[in-house]
Amino acid sequence: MKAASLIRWSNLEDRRRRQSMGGFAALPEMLVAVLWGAILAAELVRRLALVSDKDLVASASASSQLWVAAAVCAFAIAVFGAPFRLYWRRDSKLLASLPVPGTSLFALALWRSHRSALQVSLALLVALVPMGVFVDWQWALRHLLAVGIGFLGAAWLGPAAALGAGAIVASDKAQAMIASMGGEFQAPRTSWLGILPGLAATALTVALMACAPWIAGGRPPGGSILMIALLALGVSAIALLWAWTRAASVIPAAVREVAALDQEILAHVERSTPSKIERAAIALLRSPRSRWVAVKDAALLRRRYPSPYFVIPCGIIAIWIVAASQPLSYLPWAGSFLGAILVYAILMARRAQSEPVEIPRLISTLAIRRGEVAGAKNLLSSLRIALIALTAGPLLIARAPDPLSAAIFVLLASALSWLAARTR
Amino acid sequence: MSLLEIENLTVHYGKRVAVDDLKLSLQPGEIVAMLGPNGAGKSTTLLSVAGALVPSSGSIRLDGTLLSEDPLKVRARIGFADQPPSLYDFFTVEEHLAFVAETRGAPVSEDHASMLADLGLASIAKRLCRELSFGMRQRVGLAAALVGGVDVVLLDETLNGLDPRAAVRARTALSKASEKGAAILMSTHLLGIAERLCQRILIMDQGLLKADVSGAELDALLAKGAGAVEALYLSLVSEPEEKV
Repeated sequence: MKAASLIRWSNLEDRRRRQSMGGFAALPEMLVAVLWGAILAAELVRRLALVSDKDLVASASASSQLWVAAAVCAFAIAVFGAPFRLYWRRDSKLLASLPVPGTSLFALALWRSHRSALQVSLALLVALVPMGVFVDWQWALRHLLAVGIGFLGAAWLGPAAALGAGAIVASDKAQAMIASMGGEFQAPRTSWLGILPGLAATALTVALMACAPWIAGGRPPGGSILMIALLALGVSAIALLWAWTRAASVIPAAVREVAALDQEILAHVERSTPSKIERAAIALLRSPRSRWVAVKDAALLRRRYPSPYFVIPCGIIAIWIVAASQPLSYLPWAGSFLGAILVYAILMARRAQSEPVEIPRLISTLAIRRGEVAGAKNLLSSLRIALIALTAGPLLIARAPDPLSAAIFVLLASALSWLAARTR
Repeated sequence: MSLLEIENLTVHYGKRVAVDDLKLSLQPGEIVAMLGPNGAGKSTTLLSVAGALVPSSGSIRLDGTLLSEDPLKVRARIGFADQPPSLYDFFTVEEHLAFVAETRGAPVSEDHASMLADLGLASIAKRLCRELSFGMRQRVGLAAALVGGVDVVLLDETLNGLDPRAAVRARTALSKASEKGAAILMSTHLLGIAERLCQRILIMDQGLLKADVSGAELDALLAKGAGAVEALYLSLVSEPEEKV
């Protein structure tokens, strides 16, 4: 099957699926992007239009930081989506048995990654308008560099990293080598599908952070801005070329691994159980039926989605490093990292509500009340959010120039995440 | 030469051996039933032949071509209906079949219309797969395994759960495919289907092929009357508690 045909079929199914959801999800993707951009633009208008000329320079710099922070978060999430577009697809079980060439599957993932990168870029371009109108268009256009680097990361580097992760997952030789290097610590096999895109997202974040001072109107910290741009282009292009040449052999094997994992017929599934902290929290649930659901959710989430258990602690360590080393100008970055890992916690809560972690039809036939199921899921999502806030928050607050505002931000971000993660 | 040849197929799930050194060959037009208790290795065998699972060792050849060497070419000639059937929920029935046929390099043809009619799916061809009942999904899964002029059809308990009329339609469609030269390998717990439809019966237990009955031997077995296949099955398959 040719790539163009696969993309056409995939778009048809995707469009109908979104339409069936109704509401916000049924809107055209690019319109949703414009709406997100308009929300960010509204905040920038508030910051830029309502200040005196005297404060405009400082406000413009802060607005630029906010815009870049939003770009980092949005593009990083787009990079993290790459393994979902390649392997964790609803149809991976079917595709594993059909004769679809790996290059066509990679082309489909690339198409989706470009679409996702384009959505983020569009939202950021909409948000650039107030900066041009209220400050200076020449200055505002500097932000296009971040859009370009972010686009390369999300559309080229992300899928290439996901393919590299698939190569590790599907290769027994690579697994044996990692096992010999890792000693007692053995990461779950499929956790590489999260780790490599995570590293790609980190590289993208570093590149954007390096450009941030120049974008805000200053000088880049060491080296020229052209070098950073060329490096981003070169690394992304080489990674993409490498991935394209490997796609035919790697993707079918990796899709088969992930599909087999979903069918629970693969020996590589680690039989994980809830951690001690999760068990202690689960013990607080009054209903034994809720406890069963919570134990089941905790175990299945670890088996099916192991990477968040690696990526979230890494994010917290990154916050500690940033907060400890740069007390002033880099605190918005720490706040952005906190927002990103809280979004990850929300995604995990959503995953706990759908297959293969939860089977709504099965659970509705069992002797358990809906409230007991929701209670179990809410306990685990609350625990995750509380752990993130309690481990990352104190240092972030302590190092902030205005600890009260930082504390309010941490509390507000945690509360909003908790609301978004709730099962009703 | 056989159409499909499985040599020394072994599949491990960790320390457990799901299929142990299986040797099997299928001729064109042959309809073969694979019987065995749950966990006997039937589905694992089918998944391995379908290319959805990489065996620990052994080889699978279709017309002399190794599955491991040219997976796309071999998979294009193999149709697989798994359990539960993997369908695109937001495709209509005819779109789903057209998609699967296209992956096998076969254009949408009159075959599709006649297959939809054979399986009693013509009236629901324009409905989304998500709207279908269990039995209808089973039939669409079967149709997807048959489209595109495949040479080997693998069915994993696909005939279970069909109403009597649908079961008759499914048997007719399979017989038609067999007459065109397709080899059919199906796992089932329905001994009646195995007796009536199949020219060969395999019995698996604990990953091992315990019996391979065909030709005169099968005729003699069936001549003993109702219950003969069941008696053979029970004599070869161990009790579940003995396995632990």
